[in-house]
Amino acid sequence: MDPTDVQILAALEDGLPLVPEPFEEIGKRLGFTGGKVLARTQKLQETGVIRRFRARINQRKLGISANALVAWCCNGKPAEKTGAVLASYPSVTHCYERKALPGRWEYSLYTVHHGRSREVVEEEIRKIAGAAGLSEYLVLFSTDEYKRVPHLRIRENGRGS
Amino acid sequence: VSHNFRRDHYYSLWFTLSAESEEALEKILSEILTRIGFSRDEILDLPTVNKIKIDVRFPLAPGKREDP
Repeated sequence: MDPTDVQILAALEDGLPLVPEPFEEIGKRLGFTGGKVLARTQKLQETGVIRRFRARINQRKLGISANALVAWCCNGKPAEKTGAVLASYPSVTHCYERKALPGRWEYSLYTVHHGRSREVVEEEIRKIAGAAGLSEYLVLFSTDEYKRVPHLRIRENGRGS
Repeated sequence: VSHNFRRDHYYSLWFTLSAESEEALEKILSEILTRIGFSRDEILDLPTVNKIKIDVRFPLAPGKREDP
């Protein structure tokens, strides 16, 4: 990764221009040839810096307005194995293990669920809880969304090592 | 801060924080707490131990089943 790669990543994060030759267009903005932008981008993808190209979809516009974070208490069950069971459900978009706070907060697995209604999401969570053998969990529906952006944004927090 | 949601719970504001290092993370969190006037025992700091899955996909056609 050199400063040119960073410039190209930053341009790509703004979105692929919707023109017949998007890499030419990015090159024009940065003062490179389109061929150079494309070659660098391919290299960044080969080395895994760029995971993939995809659309960022506004789920609310698709009618998917119910969003729940579920905090699961493992109650002695192995977190990794239990987490893998939770993660195996297609409706689970995120599954993280996080440090619990003994005596204050005993939840160590977190999943995110989306659906068209709270009822649909709740039903799915009950099904998953049954399958994973977990009975202690909190369902935290979102009521307001103040911010939702990718974790890594090259201009704001991506310049580190 | 990449995500910041209000949720139905006593702990009503949930946000994710990431930084280059533990030290940087700790510094940002301290700054946030100072700015909002909260102490450590009023919040839950839940560091990631393991990212088991990140795969956001949505069914595109309304009326189809939820699972892709």
